[in-house]
Amino acid sequence: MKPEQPAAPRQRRFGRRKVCPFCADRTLYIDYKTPSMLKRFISERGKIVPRRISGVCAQHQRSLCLEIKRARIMAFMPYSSATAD
Amino acid sequence: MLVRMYETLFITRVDAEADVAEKIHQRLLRALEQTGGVEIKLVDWGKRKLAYEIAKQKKGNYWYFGYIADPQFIKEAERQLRISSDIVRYQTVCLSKLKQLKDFDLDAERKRVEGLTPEREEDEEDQYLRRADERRGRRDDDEDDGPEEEAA
Repeated sequence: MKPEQPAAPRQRRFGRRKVCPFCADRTLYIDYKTPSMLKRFISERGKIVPRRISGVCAQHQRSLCLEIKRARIMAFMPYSSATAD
Repeated sequence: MLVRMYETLFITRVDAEADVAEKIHQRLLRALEQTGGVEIKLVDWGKRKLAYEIAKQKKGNYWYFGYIADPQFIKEAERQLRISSDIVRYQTVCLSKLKQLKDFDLDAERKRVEGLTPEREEDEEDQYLRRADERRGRRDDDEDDGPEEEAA
């Protein structure tokens, strides 16, 4: 029997580094009162999207997280949604 | 005296009496005056759909109250908001550092607050009303077109 071939070198999946949208556009303001903007950063389930997916930088992810939580308190956004909207 | 700028958002029940917000506003203003604060503005954000049910309500009336006050005032304001059973949710957020009252530009803040109201997403009730409007509009158009065509 032929010995197994060594595993092929892992292919790089992303060619481009994601840029934080809030660093790219300084006029974008993270605010719990504008849920339409925050909605881009939650999953269909209503969970906060991790920054490794969304590409938001650490500083902005921190404020984004706070504002999403504030928006949830005021029922602008769901804590969770059992079915995808 | 050092003060801060705050905003309080509160939600009243849609089936509450019309003057419930006016009443709570008066009470807040009285307390604000006693602690040496200044009101920026109370803005009605209207009836909005809640992302989840609160107190068995699917919709709520949103109110935005901006003010400059002594930090001690917040305790009293939130106590006042808790008293009324028509207020289902409230949240206060601090917007500035401790400053002298004269360092705030009140007129600019009033203008800023007026432009804050977020756009409302259309819900079933709005869709129904819009469709009804469109239907009525189309019927009106038909009536308008009729005589013109005859005249031509």
